[in-house]
Amino acid sequence: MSENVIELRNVVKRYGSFVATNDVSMDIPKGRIFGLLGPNGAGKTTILRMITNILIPDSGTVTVLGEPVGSHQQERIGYLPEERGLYKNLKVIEQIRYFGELKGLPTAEALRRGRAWLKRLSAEEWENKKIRELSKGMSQKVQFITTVLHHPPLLILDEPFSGLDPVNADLLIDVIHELRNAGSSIILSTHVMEQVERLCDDIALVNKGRILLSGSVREVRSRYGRNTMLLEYEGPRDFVSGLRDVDVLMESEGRVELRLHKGTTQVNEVIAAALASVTIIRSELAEPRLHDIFVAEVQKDELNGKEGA
Amino acid sequence: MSTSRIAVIIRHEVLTRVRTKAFILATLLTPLGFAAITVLPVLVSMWSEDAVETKVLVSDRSGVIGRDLLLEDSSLFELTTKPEDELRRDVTDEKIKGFVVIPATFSENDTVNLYTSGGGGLSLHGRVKESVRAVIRHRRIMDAGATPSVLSAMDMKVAYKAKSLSEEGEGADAAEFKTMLGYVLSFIIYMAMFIYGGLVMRAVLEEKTNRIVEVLASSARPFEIMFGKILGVACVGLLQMVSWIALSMLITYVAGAQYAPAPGGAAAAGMAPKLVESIGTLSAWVPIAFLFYFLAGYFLYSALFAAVAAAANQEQDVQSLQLPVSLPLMIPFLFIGAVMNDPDGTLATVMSMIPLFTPTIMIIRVMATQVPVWQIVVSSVMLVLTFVGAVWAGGRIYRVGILSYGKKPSYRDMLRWLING
Repeated sequence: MSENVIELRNVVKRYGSFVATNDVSMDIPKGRIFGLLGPNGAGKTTILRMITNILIPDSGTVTVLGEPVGSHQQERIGYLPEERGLYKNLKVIEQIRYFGELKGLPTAEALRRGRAWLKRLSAEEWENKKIRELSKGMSQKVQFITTVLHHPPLLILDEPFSGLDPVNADLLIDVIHELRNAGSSIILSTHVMEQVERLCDDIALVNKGRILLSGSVREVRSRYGRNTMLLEYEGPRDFVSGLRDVDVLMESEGRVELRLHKGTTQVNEVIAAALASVTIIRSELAEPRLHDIFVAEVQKDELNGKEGA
Repeated sequence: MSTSRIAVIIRHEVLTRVRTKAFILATLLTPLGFAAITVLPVLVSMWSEDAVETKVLVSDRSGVIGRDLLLEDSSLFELTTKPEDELRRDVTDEKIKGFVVIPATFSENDTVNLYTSGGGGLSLHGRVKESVRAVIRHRRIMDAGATPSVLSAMDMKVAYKAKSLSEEGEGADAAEFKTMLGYVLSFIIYMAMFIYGGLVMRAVLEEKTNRIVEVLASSARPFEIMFGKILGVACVGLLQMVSWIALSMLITYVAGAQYAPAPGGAAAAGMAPKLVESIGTLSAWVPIAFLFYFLAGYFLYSALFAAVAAAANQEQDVQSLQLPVSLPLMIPFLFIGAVMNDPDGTLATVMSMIPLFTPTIMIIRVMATQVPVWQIVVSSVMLVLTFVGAVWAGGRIYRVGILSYGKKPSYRDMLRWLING
């Protein structure tokens, strides 16, 4: 019995001359929430489509739930595609029933579970509304229900938060945690880093069809060391432009976030430069945020690509 | 391939279609519309015949023809002695419908003139012409010295009946009726391929443009989705056809009973035994052949339409991409007259053997003539192979097409999808 829910080995997928995934290998552990990160067009959706057996790789192997990927696994996977699609003229409950039946549920069971989920997402009053009458966020919830209705051990969510307001996004985060705690393995793609930090156990960063880095969130952050410095001060901001060997990550009135090229040894240097012109209120050394790692890694990759070309 | 998943898809397709207003209206109103087209002309012609309230006046210079005309059709003609000028004025003033001037002699060089205010309809002209011709012919024959017995011998009916000989023995030949029925059945098959194939096409396009297809594709194999849809629409089509036939028969029956006492109804009633006799000559193979060509043709073309829709990104793409599918669908109708005239000819035989044309052409030949058994077997096998091939090829193009968005694919792209899958 494998501890990985998904294993990709040397997977290549081309669309004509465009290489969507280039020799991708990765393991996704069972029973955790895995975030697939990357800029638009990085190849996230292609990877997810190969895991769901919608696309077939040109070469390499995809192993899902311990077996080579195939249509027999489809009933054990719940897939929420990035492009949402529902029948506009169907009622919410009919829509849920149809997708439930396609996943092998008996009609009565599909209806029972559908109603329970509508209640859980406080959407029970929409049961008999047609999809065309729903707002984008509402139909997003219906789509999510159709994805999880058959209790799949593997759940794949492509950009699950797009179109949701903060309240519903929080609701969805809670639900995803519940599903993970109930034993499901969850893979999601997103580029909202704040949600990744709250939600994911593991991540992989993809750019141009290749994996730039992967591992548990904690591991990835510590790999980058404690090189982020936060400074809050009173006084003119001019000293910031005079600092050497730093990147300014974020700056606002009386607050600056820096990346230190030389790491912790540089802290005193920065404080000394600041004290010359301002009063320091707060100074803190922190792990980098995923957002910054993401931006830095992608920029580095783009730069390498240009030099190589 | 999962049959239970296909069953779920079929049920979904049937239920969501059958309860739409469009389906219910089309199912109920089409036979009414059809009845209106067939029954109304009869009713209208009945009314318009009664509507000849003024007669055609006859200004007779010969002294004999006028009287004969009156004997021939007293409901149409009336003798007059008014001078021609006055009659002309009456016509232009619309006091009378029109008048006929019979010349003093009726040799080959003489002309009978009918004056009307223009129009009057084909039926008036036809009736006047028929009567005048018959009366003058009779008069000429009499003048040539014929006796009344010669005359009645000329008018005597000649009984004629076509009989067909086959292994089953002698039977009434209803070639004309059968050919016409073949044409009607062929047309129904053609319409079914177009309407229900188009339905499949629009359904595939809707799922693609609404991005439903990706969810479907993660739940079932593309082939199952496409095949389930084709089978579901086939059920809807058969249901609609059966309803149409049943409703049409009901309407004809009710309307027939309603108008039987009227003259037009009597004429229709006179036709009925002949029709019954003709239907009696049909073999039990006719409904089987019809059902076979109906379904095979539908499967063939709906698979092709589904492939076209899967490749398209929007409605406009479909318009241009569907030409290679809708063209072979329409071609047989350019040759249908020739096929009906000579169902055993080379053109008819060759066309009926081309699988894309077999459904619409072979049904006519089967109805109109004795098609050699080998031709039926070979064309049927080729048709079945072609539709299996079309479903397979359509499925492959469908599988790639449903997930490809962006620019409109060329036929070369589609060929590549077909080969590479």
